[in-house]
Amino acid sequence: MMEIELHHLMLESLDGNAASYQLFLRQVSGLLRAYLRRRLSTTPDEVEDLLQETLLAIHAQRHTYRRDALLSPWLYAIARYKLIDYLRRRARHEALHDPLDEEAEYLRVMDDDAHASNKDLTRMLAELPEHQRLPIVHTKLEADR
Amino acid sequence: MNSHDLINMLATGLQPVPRHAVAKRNTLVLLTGVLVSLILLCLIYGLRPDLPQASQQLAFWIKLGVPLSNALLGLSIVLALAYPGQRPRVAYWLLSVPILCLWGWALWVWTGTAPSLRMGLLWGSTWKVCVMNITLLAVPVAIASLVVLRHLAPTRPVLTGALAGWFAGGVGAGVYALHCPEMAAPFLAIWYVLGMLLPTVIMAYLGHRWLRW
Repeated sequence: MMEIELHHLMLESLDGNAASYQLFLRQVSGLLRAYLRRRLSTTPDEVEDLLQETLLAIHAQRHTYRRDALLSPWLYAIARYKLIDYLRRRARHEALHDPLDEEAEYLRVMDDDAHASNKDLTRMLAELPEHQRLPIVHTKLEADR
Repeated sequence: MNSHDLINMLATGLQPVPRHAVAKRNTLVLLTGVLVSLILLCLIYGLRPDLPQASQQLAFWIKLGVPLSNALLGLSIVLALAYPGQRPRVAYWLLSVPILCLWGWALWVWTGTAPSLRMGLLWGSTWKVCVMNITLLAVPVAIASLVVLRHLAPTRPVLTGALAGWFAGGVGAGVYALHCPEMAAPFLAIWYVLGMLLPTVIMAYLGHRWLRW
């Protein structure tokens, strides 16, 4: 869908045509999803959330579109603003949780330990007779799963 | 909610956007700001009593023209920045032209004056109040700008705030020129420029705080 067609739909939307607006937003979400996906390749889960935020902004700010202006610069300026806003929020959030990075190392070590003790447990259980081993496995170990 | 449902929700009960409604609102709010600033001038300071004689002099018109041309340049950039995807019609460097003209004039007067008289031209008799008075008269215009901008969508809030402050400071200085008795270029080159810069700095901060959307 090209600029001219989208521009036409936008003008009809500004005049209150709900069907045009629906079509307009659908076409726009296709464009913006691609735009956001390219820029959020490391966190693809966030694309849909951010797309919805951008659609809401387009809706809330539709009166700032000048009818004689090009449409795509307006659309992408809003998307870009929302993207930067999101990235800034994320950076701030990550800065707040910085200490976790050091802990992550520690947690990984804990995981290794747990794995090792699990191996020990399996080996010792194997030495037990059947009638003692099975009750332990069924009630204590598999009950948690 | 998935995006499909969101789109359907946004499209139901869609209200038309009346043509020129935003432009009319902007004009009305900003003119109110300027008018309140003029009223404040008359109530607090009063027009200078020798206004008819002063208006015969070129210096008076430069004193009025420099801030007002600053205000117009600032406003035209602000109104572009407030709409996503719009580029300002005037280049940013043009903002410095009125100031540079004022400084050139001041330098010319300064070098042409006997050194013993220069300090009088620089400090005048009202330098202590000049910056604060201009800032005070800029307040109504600054508030009006914020009201206008919060309804719009500036994608660069700090820059937009700063230029709105430059606009408000320009109007404040232009309005104050109707009261201020100083006519020396060096005085204007320092104190009027500072008077316009203070609202700019304050509004850059307010833009950061209030113009996000």
